[in-house]
Amino acid sequence: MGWRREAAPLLVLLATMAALPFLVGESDVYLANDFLITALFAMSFNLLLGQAGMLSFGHAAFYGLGAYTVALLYSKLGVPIVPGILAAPLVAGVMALAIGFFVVRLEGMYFAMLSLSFAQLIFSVVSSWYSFTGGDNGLPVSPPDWLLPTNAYYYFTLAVVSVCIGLLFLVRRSTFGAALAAIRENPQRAAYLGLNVRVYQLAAFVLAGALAGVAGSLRSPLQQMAFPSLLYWTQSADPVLMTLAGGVGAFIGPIVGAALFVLLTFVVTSHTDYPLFAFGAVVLVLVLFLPKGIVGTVEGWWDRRRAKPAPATPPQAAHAAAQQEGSRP
Amino acid sequence: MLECDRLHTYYGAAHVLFAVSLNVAPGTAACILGRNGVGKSTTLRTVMGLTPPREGSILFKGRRIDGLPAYKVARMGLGYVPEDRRVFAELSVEDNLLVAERQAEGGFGWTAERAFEVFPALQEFRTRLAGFLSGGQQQMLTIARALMGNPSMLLLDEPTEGLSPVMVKTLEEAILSLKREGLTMLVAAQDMHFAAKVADHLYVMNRGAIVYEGQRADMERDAAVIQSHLVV
Repeated sequence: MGWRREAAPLLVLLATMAALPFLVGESDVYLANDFLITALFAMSFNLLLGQAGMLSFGHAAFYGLGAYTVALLYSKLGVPIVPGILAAPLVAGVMALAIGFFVVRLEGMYFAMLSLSFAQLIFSVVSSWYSFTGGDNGLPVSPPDWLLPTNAYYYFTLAVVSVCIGLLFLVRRSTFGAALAAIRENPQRAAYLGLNVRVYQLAAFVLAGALAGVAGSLRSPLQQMAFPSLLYWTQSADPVLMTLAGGVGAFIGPIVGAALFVLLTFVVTSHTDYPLFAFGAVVLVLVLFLPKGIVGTVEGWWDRRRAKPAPATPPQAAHAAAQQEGSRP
Repeated sequence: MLECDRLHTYYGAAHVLFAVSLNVAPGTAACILGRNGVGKSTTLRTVMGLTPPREGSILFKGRRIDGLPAYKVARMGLGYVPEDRRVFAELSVEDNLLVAERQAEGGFGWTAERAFEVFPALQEFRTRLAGFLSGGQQQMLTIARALMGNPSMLLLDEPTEGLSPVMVKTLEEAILSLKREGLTMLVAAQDMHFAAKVADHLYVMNRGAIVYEGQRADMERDAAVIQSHLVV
């Protein structure tokens, strides 16, 4: 797949988002800011699921840790939020290294469950340690004056998120990204070519955790509060659903999924208390009828229209051969 | 270069290899002949660390490698070309090669460009997803991919199986040119034709054990014995 085809929609999106405050009102800019942060959260998750084939159910831990890093530094030590946002990926990354050390030893459902367990453990600590984190009262954060206007913080978020997504783009195009894709396709095959599978998976886990930490660190100043719900397991389900809706295999899939999620949540919360229920139903329909997600389906349609010699996915035979490798006498 | 001593390998409770011993001297090619399911692939997988032996020892360049994980065996300079052309179907030809690129001790300085010189057909499709290559091209890719690890020895599992006669010829020539460059090889094959061209040393397997061992010079003399193990 050509990099131009993957970069072009990103640049169009960046230009659109940059122009947005000139086109819509302040409340919509706030919503767009929510979208940018959510998109980065989902994109960091898809480094694990889409690139490396690791289904983590505990990604919210790093999102929440990012949010609390900013909030704790601000309220306990008086550190302004910008240094806090720089510290967040370090804190989330170190925690991802510690958790990752254990979870990458497992595969599939066991990996998912253990990542969920660790995340819930961190959630329990944050939500019950009232003297330190404020428990479920949350912890207040106050942006400095220059970031208080909605548009100012929006552009700040846009810059940070763009840099992070640019980084993910480079990772995807790099040899490291190709190695993760190779491991996703067949870990044993990658191993006999000399790749230390666990180390690559751990590196992906740490990078994904650190970037989720960045997303979280942008979240608490936006809401001027860090809440334990940012670490709760339902928060971990959000990026899974967004990624499935947008398309696991497509680079911008999670961005499109996040847009759908934020818009739908906004519309639905004005009518019911169960936005995740509505989004879940939408994802169910998408997964059933568009298994490649919105972006994957559009890309496939685009390819067929241009009548390229190569269809969007390789033949099934190659996959079948890949599956039986482990168990052959 | 490679010394296997009385290897016993199991798949769960099933005993598959029975006291398999074989030696491959540096710069030579050995061939394991045998029908389907006699343990050729398992022998190569055992050497590679993919199905570790329960008993016996494997020395590579004088060092024990049995019990090491496959990635460490690969990094010591042992390249593996599995049967059935197992490429990374969702990666481009180029990425298939780049993923495997590393410097092993005593390698031959392989790069993607040099691999393309040996297999010019791959150069043409370098940006194509490997899943869309023909069978022969995929086999070229798995060999080129193994070379990218700069191995001093190559394990080839039935490299010409199921390919067209023209492709078989191309691959045989490529494998012979690699041998001339000094690459040590252990090749699994089903028929004597290929073994006669490549092998300095010959092993025949039947029911998980080595049943015949000889030099290339002995092949003609012992043809009847060898054939008797290859027919059902």
